[in-house]
Formats: sequence, structure tokens, C-alpha cells
Amino acid sequence: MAKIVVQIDADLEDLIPGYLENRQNDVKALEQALKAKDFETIRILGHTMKGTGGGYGFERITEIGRALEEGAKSKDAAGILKGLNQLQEYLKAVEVVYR
Amino acid sequence: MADKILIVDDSIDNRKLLLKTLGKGDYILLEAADGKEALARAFEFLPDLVLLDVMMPELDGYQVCEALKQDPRTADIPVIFLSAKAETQDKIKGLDTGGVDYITKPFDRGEVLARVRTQLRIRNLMKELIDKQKRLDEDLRAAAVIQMSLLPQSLPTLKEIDIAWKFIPCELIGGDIFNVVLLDENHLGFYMVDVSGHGVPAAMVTVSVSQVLQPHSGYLKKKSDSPPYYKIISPKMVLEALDREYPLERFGKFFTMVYLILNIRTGKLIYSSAGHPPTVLLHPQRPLDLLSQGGTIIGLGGVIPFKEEEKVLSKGDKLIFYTDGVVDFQNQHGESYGEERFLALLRSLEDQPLELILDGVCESLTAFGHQARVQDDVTLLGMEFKDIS
Repeated sequence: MAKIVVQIDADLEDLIPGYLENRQNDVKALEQALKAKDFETIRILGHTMKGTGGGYGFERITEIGRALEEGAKSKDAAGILKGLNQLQEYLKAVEVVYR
Repeated sequence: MADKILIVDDSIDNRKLLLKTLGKGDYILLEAADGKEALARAFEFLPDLVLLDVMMPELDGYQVCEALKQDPRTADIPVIFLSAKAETQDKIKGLDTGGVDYITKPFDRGEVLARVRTQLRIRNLMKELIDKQKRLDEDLRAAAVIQMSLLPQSLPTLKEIDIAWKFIPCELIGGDIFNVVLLDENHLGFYMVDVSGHGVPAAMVTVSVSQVLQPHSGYLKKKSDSPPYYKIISPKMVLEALDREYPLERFGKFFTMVYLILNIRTGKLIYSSAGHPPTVLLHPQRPLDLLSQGGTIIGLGGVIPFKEEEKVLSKGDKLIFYTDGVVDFQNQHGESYGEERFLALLRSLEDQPLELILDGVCESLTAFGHQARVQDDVTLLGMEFKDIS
């Protein structure tokens, strides 16, 4: 699978593994919330992702977070599932290069 | 002492990122994961700045900010909102709640650092300014005490006369000064001076003038070779000497003055006025007199001579000296209190004891002014001639 290379400031190196692991946990949480039709939880998760992604250097995570938040507001289950899958794929493919 | 920054965010990823970002600066960093913890930490540590997330469970950022602003302990701490809520109305709400800045997430780390630095710089400048102002205020208060000490501390208690006064500077210290001087066992000197302007510069000139008008400085009384070995200087000569001593170029100030010498045995008085509001002479059951003879303001260097006038007081007569802060006092409509109103009031109160007359003037001024600020120093000196001895 094609790697997605992201350049991130070297001083964040010790925070990245923890951040990505939290996003993996988010994937699980999103799956459960979607099953339970708990759109509020999805909205909060999306909102947080939107806020943190770009700050760490993962613009894509901000985008996905925004889409999840919007999807939750309009109770768009299909859109949310799409976002969830995109997140999963992204986390598998992302490779960090420190500068 | 390093600045303390409190980071409030329910997302641990955000807190870690901010700690890392701000770790570059020389700050003491504190964290809180929700609104309740944020308030507790803020009251405990009194940070110099708060970085505040908006979306938090239970207590949101706006509520936290409001709580901080309402408590005097934390009201002055700058709050920077840091939020993924990026609509204009969110930003407006944040600023209206009392935040000093609003940064949207995802944020640029360099931008956060720069804005934090700016707000801390502003805060430190404010602290410096407040400190300086406090020191100035303390100095002013000390100066006011000194100026008050130049006023009559213990007025000559003589059975022939009563004296009362009011001294209301508009800025803690003022450009008015007055005194009652015992020239010899038969003569009292009354003077009142109004230096142009008010506040510290005018007050400093009053100190100079009041020193010069001490009984033994040679202006009010001079030594003489023949008995009784002193001479009381007439008001006109005193004013002329002061006019030479205090030309406008000396302090950039001029002043008005009235100087009156009263023989307490005979009731005879002689006075001269240098551009000062006319002293009011109240007679029981007779129309009042205005003592307005003299010349123009002190400061012109002795160009124009001063005239004198003599009067004789009878039992029950009262003198009211005042400065123009009384009649020029304007209410919030820009209306002046005016000489007419002042004289009418004095006429209506003329049978009252001196203290009550002066109280009456002050009450009338307050009632007239409504909420208007006092614009100039207000000074009143009253004397009642009780009896010829």
C-alpha cells in the first residue's frame, strides 16, 4: 500500500506515537458510537480531531474530523462510515518524517 | 519571576501539544482538563495568562471566562480562547465574554507562541503602569497632607471674632491657599490666594507664597528703628511686593489674591484685591457690601498699581472670602453656579453661625452640580466680627 509521508517538527517526536495511538482508539470508539447511533459522541470525537490534527502536522486528520463532525450534526450515517474508513486507511498508511 | 500560564483543554492531545509549544518559552505551565479544575487552579495559582478551550463538558470555556472575570482575584488575568469553533460569532462571543484574543484550532504553533508573548507583554506593562500610578497617588496623598499643614492649624482664638473655613481641592492638592495671621495683639491679617491651574504645579506655588507670607518673612511686617520696632505693611504694598516677586516668567503661573488687615479692637479694616473675586461683607439687616477695590492679577511684574479701601465693621458683620472655583462651578448642563446665586444664598443664610453658612454653600454647590465633577479648587474663609473690645 502506498505510504503517505508527513513531515513533522522534530520536537514533537515524543508525542506522535501517543497521538496516533489515541486516533486508533478513536476508530474503535467511532465504530461503537455509530452502531449505537450515538451522534453526540461522534460529533465530539470529530470536533477534537479537527482541532488537533493540523496542530500536530496531520492536516488530513483535521479534514476527516471536520467531515465527521458535520456528518454527526446531520445524522448522516453513511458519511460517518466513510470518514471512519478514511481515518483507518490513513492511520495504516501514514509515515512520519521528522525535520 | 517567570510568567505562569494555565492551559485548559479537555483533550489530552491538545494539552500535550500546548505544553510542548509553550515549553519553548520561559514559562511555568499549569494544566486543567475541565472547567471546574480550571477555576480551582486559577484561584490557587493566579496565573498570568489562561489558554482556554471552549468546547468542554459541563462548564464550557465561555462560562469559565465569565467566572474568572467576575472574581476580583482573577478579573485582570488575560484569557486567550483556543478553539475549533471557528465561526465569526464564536470569536465575537469569546471576545465579548472578556477574552483578549481568540485563536482557532488547528493552530499554528508559532502563532500561539507569538500571541501569548504579546499578551504577557501587555499584562506586564499594565502591572508596571498600575504600580507607577500607585506610587504617584501615594506621593499626592503625602503632598496633600503637607499642603493641609500650611492651612490655619489653630486659628487665633479671640473673643472678638469667629473664624471658619472650607478647603476642597479638586485633585487632592490644589492651587488655593489662605491663612489668618496674627500681626500683633490688635491686628489680624487675612489672605487668600488662587494660583492659576490646579494640581501639583499650582500647589507648589502656593507653598512658595505661603512661606513668603509668614509673619516674620518681612512681607507682612517689617522691622523698624523706632518703637514699636516693627511696621505692619499695608495691603497695597504687600500686593505690589508680591507682584514684583512673582512675575509670570518665574513659575509660568499667575495668581489672584486678597489681603485684608483687621483691627480687632476698633473694627477698622483695610484691604486690597489682586483680581480676586470680591470679598463679601454681610451686615445683619442691611444690604451686603462687596469689597472689590484693588488691581489686577499678580504676575504682571508691578506694572499696574493696586488701590486700597477702608471699612469699619460693626457687631455681627461677617466677611466671606472665596475663590472663583465656587462661582465658576459648572453642572453637567454646562450651567455656572454664578455670583448672583452665591450672593443670594449668602443673604438667605446671613443670620446663621459661620460654620452653617459655609456648610450651606457647600450643600448648595453639591445640589447644583448633581453628578458633575468639581472642575476647580473650592475655598471659603469666613470671619464674624462679634464685638468691639
